[in-house]
Amino acid sequence: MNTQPQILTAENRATHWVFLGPFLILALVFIVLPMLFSVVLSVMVWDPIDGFAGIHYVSLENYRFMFQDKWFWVSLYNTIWLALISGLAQHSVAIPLAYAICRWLGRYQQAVAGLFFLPYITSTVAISILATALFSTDYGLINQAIAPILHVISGTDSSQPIQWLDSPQGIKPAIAIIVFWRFVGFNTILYMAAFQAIPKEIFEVSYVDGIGSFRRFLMVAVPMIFPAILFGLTMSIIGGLQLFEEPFILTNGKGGASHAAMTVAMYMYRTAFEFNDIGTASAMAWFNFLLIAIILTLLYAIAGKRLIKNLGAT
Amino acid sequence: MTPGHRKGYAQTVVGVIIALGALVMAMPFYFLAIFATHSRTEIFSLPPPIWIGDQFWFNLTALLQKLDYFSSAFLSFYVAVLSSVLTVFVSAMSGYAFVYLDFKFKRALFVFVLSLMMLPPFLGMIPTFIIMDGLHWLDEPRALYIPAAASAFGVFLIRQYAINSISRDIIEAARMDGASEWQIFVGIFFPLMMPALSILGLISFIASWNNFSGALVVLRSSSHFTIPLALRSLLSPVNTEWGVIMVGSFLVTLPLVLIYAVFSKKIISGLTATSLK
Amino acid sequence: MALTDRRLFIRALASLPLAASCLAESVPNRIEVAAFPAIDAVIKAAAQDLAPNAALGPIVVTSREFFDHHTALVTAMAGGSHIPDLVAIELSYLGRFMHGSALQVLEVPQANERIIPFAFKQGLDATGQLRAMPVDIAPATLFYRQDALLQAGIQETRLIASFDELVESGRIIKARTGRFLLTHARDLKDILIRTGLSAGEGVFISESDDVLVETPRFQKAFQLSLKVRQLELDARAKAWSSEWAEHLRRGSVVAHLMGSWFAGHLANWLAPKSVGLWRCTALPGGASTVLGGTFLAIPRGAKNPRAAQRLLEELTFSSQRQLRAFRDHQSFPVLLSAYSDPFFNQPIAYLGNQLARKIWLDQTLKLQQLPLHPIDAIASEIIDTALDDVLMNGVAIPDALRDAGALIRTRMHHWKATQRV
Repeated sequence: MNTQPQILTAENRATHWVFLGPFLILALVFIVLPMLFSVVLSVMVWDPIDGFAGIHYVSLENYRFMFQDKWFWVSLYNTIWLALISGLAQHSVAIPLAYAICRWLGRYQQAVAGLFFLPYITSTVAISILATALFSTDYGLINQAIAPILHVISGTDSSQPIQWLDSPQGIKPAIAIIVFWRFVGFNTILYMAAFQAIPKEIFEVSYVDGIGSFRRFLMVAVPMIFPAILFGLTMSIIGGLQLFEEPFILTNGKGGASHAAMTVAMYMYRTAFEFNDIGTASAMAWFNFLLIAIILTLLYAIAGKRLIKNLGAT
Repeated sequence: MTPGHRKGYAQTVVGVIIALGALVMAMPFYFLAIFATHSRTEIFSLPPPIWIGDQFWFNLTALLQKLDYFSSAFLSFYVAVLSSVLTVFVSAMSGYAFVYLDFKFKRALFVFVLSLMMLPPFLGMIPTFIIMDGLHWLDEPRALYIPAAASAFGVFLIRQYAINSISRDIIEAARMDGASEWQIFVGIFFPLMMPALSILGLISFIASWNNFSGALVVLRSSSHFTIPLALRSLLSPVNTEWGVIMVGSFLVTLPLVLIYAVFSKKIISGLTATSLK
Repeated sequence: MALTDRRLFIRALASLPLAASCLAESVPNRIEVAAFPAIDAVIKAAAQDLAPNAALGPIVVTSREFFDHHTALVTAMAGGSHIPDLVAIELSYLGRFMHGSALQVLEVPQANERIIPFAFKQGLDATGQLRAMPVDIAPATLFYRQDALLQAGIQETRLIASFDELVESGRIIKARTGRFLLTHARDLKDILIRTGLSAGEGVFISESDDVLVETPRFQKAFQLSLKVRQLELDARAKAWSSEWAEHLRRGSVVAHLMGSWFAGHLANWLAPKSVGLWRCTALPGGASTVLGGTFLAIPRGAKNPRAAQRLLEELTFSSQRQLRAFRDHQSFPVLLSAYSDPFFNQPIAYLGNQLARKIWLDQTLKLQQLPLHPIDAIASEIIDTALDDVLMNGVAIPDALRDAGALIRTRMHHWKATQRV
């Protein structure tokens, strides 16, 4: 029956526009338009204090400044560091965790998975506020809890508590931990879905082959969820390179000691609304976007042919 | 030791580790609740509190004095409900089109949608501010829930789910019977897609409720703040009332945790069903 | 005559809109004020006693936290909507708003004779026109714990002989009592870079746009701050954090360099039980500097500028209101005639019955105007991060200052390149 060609009536010809219309209009106005607007702004100078009359063209001055600005490179370094460390941690924990939950937790699967997913649904503001208390140098629970471990490691009786939020060396790990906590569950669910999709026969075969548990995991299961890993990495790259809220709340919008926690997104926000330089902020936004695009392109060039095939298939 | 034994031992160890991990995941919520019942000096003292204190009502009263908490909560709720309803409808319609309608440039348009998913939301932050200012939507809730409806992720989710659950045959049969596309959409597609639509609605609700940076840009006066912004306004550069802000943070998180606790099984199973083969 | 009648009638009709707008002007609008703590409370108090005056209309004060307030002002001016009629601007942000026509010119006769001169001059733009009116200022003061000094056997005269002596005293105090001298080494840097300015020099940038961060003034500031850190004389507590508050509450930090208004914070919530233990004094070495101040201005695009200006004058030129703000919020007055009030000679119980207000007045009378520059706030942050690098990342002082200078010059260059010609 479904081999009959669809009759293109007048109604049919326009129907898809009715269905797609709302999304397309909204996307054009609120996603594409701002993007294009951003390009235009990046070659303009606009001090917001001057109001709309203050916009004028300056060709590539904003980009020239941005590339000379040490703070910009610092923020880029911070962002990449955070994305890399927290991302690596998230995925290298989520994959085996998902596997273990799927294979060995039986009827507790969904309850445990539920607990791991819980952090994802919390408000970043609430959690960052809590983190300010927990990571406090003198009074925070985290330092209290690890104090005995520090004593053992350093071998002395009086060891300095870790300055999580007040030192450049401490604040990056603190943020990485918070981001890890938030997303490890999300990725675990993602991978659980992927592992569950692997047909049981594959595992039976590997039992017969007699390979060990760990090798089964590494050599058989992981390669099979490759598209999911790619998807997960993509989401982490996009999200990680735009990290804004946690550092913003933890450092009260300032970037921390020695600007160690200032991400590109936060620097962009500050450049626009605190330093009154909307043109340069737009240039930064575009640079960030291009960076994400390049990294993703590389990722997919290396690994993506399989994924396109999977996603594009109707 | 037989292989079976070894596997059992390893399994227990792994199980324990996972259980500890789950505990670590949940601990912050515990402390959020505990801290909400203490005063600022108690929270920042040695040793910090690990059990329920007696300052809950005091903190709550102070919170209500400092903020118009309920109106912010209502506003957050209003925006979140509208966001999720609009997202569900717009995504359902678009998903339907991509799966069951044929038209020129379909593939290109879908790639366009996919690429929108990859767009960093931060890119448009400043132009969004300018556009909202031009539309006179600053400080208006619609500046939040209308753009939220353009969810590329939503379209993607619905499409994947639809492809895997409702075959074209059903749709074709209905067409043969003379039903219009809209009738098919409302009568067949929508009801059958309820699981996926509910999950999308829930995810949208949660995302909207927690949205901070988006709201930061377009909401300007404190009488129009959503909850995350209201909460942040309690963070004084000079003198933060920690007990108060903890109770505020706790109350922000509580509704979602409750909703989640009720629906978590459905959410988890729903998300794992839309697998990426 | 019919034609003339008609012409008259048409002329009458044409003048109706004009008449209507005149009517509208005479109906009192409201005055929208944007402020931050504590000036918001001061303005609200003034609004209350001005309420019977129908000519001014209702006064609505929107209060935001310090940082958010200034960001919100910028955003409002960006879009040209939600612009308040009267706005409070802190001294550190003033440079940013003073250039161009962001703030309206204030025509206030004799203001320069009634307000303390240096503060008045801060509100003048490059062409000498008044754009921002000071309403309070914060002379820098040294607060210290008397009991700690007694315990360590140090005299106040030694403490404030010079900044080097201050640090040396801190070393002795640490050795003899175990207490820290300062909450953070940065506080010392903040004061030192603001002392010893030559004519024509702003804190970071001179009037001729030279970047000044590699001058001896900065080197000395950084060296002394580093010494404080190396001798472990600072508690490394971030300003206004809970650890910081605890140190002050317990007296485990014995000195604090801050504006005079800090006495209020100490007495009200930081260390209310430490009555009689704290003292305040002039800065070491006879230095004096201003650490902030609130200015009132009328932004471009304000809907009710005339009423706003009247409110501004009520706040600044009323001796009674200036003194009330001083009494309730420790906002040091700018009105010269207020200085002769007996209030200044009253002892402050919290500070051990010191005549602290006279000390602050003496400090204030020595203050000089600081040239402001739009990128002052950024320069300040650049210097802060440079100090962080020296204190926490082991960077050498000359390198840190040189890099900071280069960064400030880059920003200056960018700022100049983006000005309208």
